[in-house]
Amino acid sequence: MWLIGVRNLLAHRGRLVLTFVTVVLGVAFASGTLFFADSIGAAARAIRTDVAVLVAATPGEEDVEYDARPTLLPASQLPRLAAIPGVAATDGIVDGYAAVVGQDGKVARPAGFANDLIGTNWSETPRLRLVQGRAPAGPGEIAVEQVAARNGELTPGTRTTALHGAGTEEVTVVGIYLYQPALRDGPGRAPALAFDTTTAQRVLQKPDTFTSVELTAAPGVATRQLRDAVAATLPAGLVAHDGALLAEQSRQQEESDAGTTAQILLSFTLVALLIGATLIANTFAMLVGRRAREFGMLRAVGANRRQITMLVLVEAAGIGVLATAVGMVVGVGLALPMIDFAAGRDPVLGDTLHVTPRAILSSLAVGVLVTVLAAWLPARRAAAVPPVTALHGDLVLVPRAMRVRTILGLVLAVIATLFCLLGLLGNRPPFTVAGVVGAFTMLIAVVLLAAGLARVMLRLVAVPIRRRLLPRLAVENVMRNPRRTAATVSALLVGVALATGIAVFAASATQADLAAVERTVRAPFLAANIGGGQISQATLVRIRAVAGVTSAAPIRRETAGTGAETFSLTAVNPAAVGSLLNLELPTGTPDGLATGALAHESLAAEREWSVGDSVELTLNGQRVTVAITGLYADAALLGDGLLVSDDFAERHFRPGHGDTVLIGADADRSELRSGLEAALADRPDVRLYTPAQYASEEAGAFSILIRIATALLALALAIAVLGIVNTLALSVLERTREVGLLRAIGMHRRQVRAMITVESMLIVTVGGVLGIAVGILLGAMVQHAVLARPVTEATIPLSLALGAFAAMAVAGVVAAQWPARRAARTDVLEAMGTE
Amino acid sequence: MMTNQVAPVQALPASGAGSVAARVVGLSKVYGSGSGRVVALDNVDVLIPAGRFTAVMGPSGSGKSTLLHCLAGLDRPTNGSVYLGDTALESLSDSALTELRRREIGFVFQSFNLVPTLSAEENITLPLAIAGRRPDRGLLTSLVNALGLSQRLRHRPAELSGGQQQRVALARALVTRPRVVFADEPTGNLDSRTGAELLRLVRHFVDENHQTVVMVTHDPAAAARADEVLFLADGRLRDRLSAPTVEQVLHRLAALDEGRS
Ligand SMILES: Nc1ncnc2c1ncn2[C@@H]1O[C@H](COP(=O)(O)OP(=O)(O)OP(=O)(O)O)[C@@H](O)[C@H]1O
Ligand SMILES: [Mg+2]
Repeated sequence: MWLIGVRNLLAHRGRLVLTFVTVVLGVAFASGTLFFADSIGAAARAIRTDVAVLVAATPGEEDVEYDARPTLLPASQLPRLAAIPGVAATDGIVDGYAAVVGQDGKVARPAGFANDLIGTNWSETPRLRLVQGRAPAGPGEIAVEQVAARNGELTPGTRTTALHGAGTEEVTVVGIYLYQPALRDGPGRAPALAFDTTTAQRVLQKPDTFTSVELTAAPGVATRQLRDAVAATLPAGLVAHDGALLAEQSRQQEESDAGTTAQILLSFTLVALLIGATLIANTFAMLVGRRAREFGMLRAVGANRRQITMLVLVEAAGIGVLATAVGMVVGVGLALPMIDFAAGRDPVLGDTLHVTPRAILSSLAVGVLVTVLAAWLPARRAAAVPPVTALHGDLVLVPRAMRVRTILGLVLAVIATLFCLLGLLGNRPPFTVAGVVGAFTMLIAVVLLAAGLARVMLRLVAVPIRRRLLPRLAVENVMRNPRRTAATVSALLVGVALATGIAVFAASATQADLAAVERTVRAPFLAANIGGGQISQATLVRIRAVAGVTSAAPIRRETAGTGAETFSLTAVNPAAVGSLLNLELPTGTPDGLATGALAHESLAAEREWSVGDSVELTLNGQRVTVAITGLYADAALLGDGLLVSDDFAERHFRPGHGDTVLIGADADRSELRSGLEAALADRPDVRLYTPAQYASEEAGAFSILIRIATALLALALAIAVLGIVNTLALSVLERTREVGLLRAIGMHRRQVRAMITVESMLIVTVGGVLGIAVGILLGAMVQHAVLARPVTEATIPLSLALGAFAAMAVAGVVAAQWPARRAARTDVLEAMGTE
Repeated sequence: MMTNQVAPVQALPASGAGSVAARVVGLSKVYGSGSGRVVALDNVDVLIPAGRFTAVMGPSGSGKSTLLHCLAGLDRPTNGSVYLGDTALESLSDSALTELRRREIGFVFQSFNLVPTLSAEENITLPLAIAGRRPDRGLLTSLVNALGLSQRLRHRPAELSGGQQQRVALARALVTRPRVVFADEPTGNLDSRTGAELLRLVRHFVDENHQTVVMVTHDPAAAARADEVLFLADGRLRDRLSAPTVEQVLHRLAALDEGRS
């Protein structure tokens, strides 16, 4: 039996190519993802472990009471800490906002995925490892992080500008370093540049202060004990962290980051495999159908059902093993550039390929199991063929599950519709959740009903071309095997629906941002720091000096707490409200800002504050009491905490001028723009925006979603192309005689090709239209839930939709190429002789 | 025995456009090579008179289908020439040949003549649809009426009897007003009464419309409805008979067998 299986495999290899390619692709995605995750995850274990205790002012998790003190350690703490028994060395660290300008005049982005930009001080510890040049030795010298150096084309000797909160420095790059953090708290960020310690203290914080201290332990001293010893000596507001614990946390963080990435990629893979399995099942059903006679013969000479089933399964397993092997090789090819990319962004991530047994075994299981499972049903049906029937000739294995499927689909569609209608009733949780549930249920329902829906749609398509025989012939051909068409259509449908859903959500979110900014910001321009730093006094003065500028109102932010909970505090000049800012105040007037604080309505509701209450906050270590004088509704730029006046900020905030400045003007816009640009010329880290530009920049966060949507669409189309090639190739094979007849009575080769191409386009159109329709529903419901916007306000990204249609048209034509060519080559006499 | 041998067909008169629908000259068709070499047609000269009903008979494997396929431009000869009217087929490209099949030739196969997804009417008009032409309604109606298909036009092939299917195929072959209709055992899958009915219809179109028809058959009764019968054996044209009767056909066939053995 095994021998026959292997022989069959070889004999039918041409027909099995598609199955093979499908499995290879699925396995390549899966194994590539696993290899990638294992490789970058492996490096997380290489995180530094030499730090025994980290002393910092930032509140740790053990803190119960929020107590934001000034976050700096006096330099005098350093020798004291060094004297504690068990401490081997101290590394005083200064972190603060800073950026370095690259050769192109733009800010050079360092390694890591965070937007915030920071600079640090140089110290001779493993924290910064010199890879080129030397350490900065005084003012006017900096070392640059290696990715930033690459991005900004900076090498030792390059003269450039360092930007920081207090101003700018003309500096020379003297070294390039690799950053090796002891603590990673989320997507990594590396300091882009390092000054010598004295300069760093001056430009990043205050002279003679540090932001944190890393302590190393003398040999044989346990980190836990050292931490306790250090903690006992610390003044209030400073916390000692166990370095071993931090390293462990960092490692876990790192692994879960890698895990999350892998999960996202794997879910793509899962979609790919699911669709792949359908394709494989189709191919096997077809092969089995064509070989019914052979099976009948085997049955007649005494093979039992189990043996026939085994025969088919052996073939499937054979393909599965071979394709998986090839797929894993392709997977390595996929993983390598991904690893390179990730390591390029963040050197802490591993840059060497780790092929773990776990990944190999999982890929093998995926490839072989999917193939065997996909072949299982057709195999069972093949075995059920009575020998006599089989000997009669070709046999179409008629599926029986269609009716059950349709009924289930209809029931789900009704439920989905009800839930969606429920979703329309309100913009709050029970309704929004119902909407999302409804949309996803609808997706499942549409997949189940794909055959029927395809039929209806094709009938509709056929109406205008009823009189044109050839297009109708194509329509009929597509409808001939509804199950197969449905499988092909659903493959496309699911991918397109998910991609469209994501795109609609992203576009709606962007639109919501834009609407919020346009509603709130009346200023014609605003300037904002791109790295989370403060706008310097000098910059502010220069903006105010530009001809035509009537006012410049900085927006300052701080975090405040009541009890253990924190919220944001935003400060603006009360005079700006009304002129530069439009505030919607459900209660109170803008004047309230001068005498107290306006509370965001949701915060007020949560804390049960009402107008007239006095609230006590902890702010930078002080206790401050403010009166609530009004409530404000959602507003861009202003957060969802308390809104206070700039006078209040002057008294209680840390010094600075905020990261955003609203600019009022009475001059012509374009003239003003050039003036402002000139004023900001020395600060590449401060960007000038119109409100609309600012909104779209903010929405840049969603561009990753758009990219995911595009990737998903591409994947869906790639798989759809395979599916269509598969379906059409099988269909052409089954219609050999018919194509021969058509050629005999005068159909040109190109007409045959056109017919097959139209069939392909029909499948793509049905899948695409259904997918986009369901996708819009998905996107609308999700944005409804997440953004609390009405369902009807969902934004449909037209350009993406048109692009998708264009891509699908191309995919349809591409998919038709090979089957169409094969059909057109049909030899008339041979075809007519086919039994 | 030699008396049964027809005289070789002479070079044909060029003026014969009205009288000669198709002819083959020195036609040979060889399949395979070496030990698997099969000579299906061996230097055959045949003339198909226009407006007449010609039957082709002969033992199985004698090359009847091959001859028909070469005449209809479905197959290319190894040697010799095929003329449809005045057109030499060997000079035509595949697409010109396709065009010629579409315009000048009707074909009825033994089985599987129809596209299963199209209705009877659509199958009939298919060659016109392929050519992007509209059917001549008058011709269509008269064809359909003559073939007794008017009640069956909306049915799909699967819903038609074998005889009805062959009548649809005949209608399709006739709808383009082709120069020649070729039929390869069109009654082969039909019972004798149904077959006789189909032949009556073929005869009708030859008599009424001067339609040229060439039909391969194994049935002497069918051949007897033709104006002339060509007898093939071992790839050679061995005999021809005008205004045949069933007895004459049987007799000639027997003689053919004798000649072979
Ligand atoms: N494609 C082919 N390849 C090889 N040999 C062929 C091919 N087609 C026909 N032949 C051979 O050519 C010879 C003539 O075949 P043809 O089909 O013309 O016979 P026929 O007279 O139509 O027979 P029948 O009455 O059985 O239909 C036969 O010996 C056949 O085996
Ligand atoms: Mg034959």
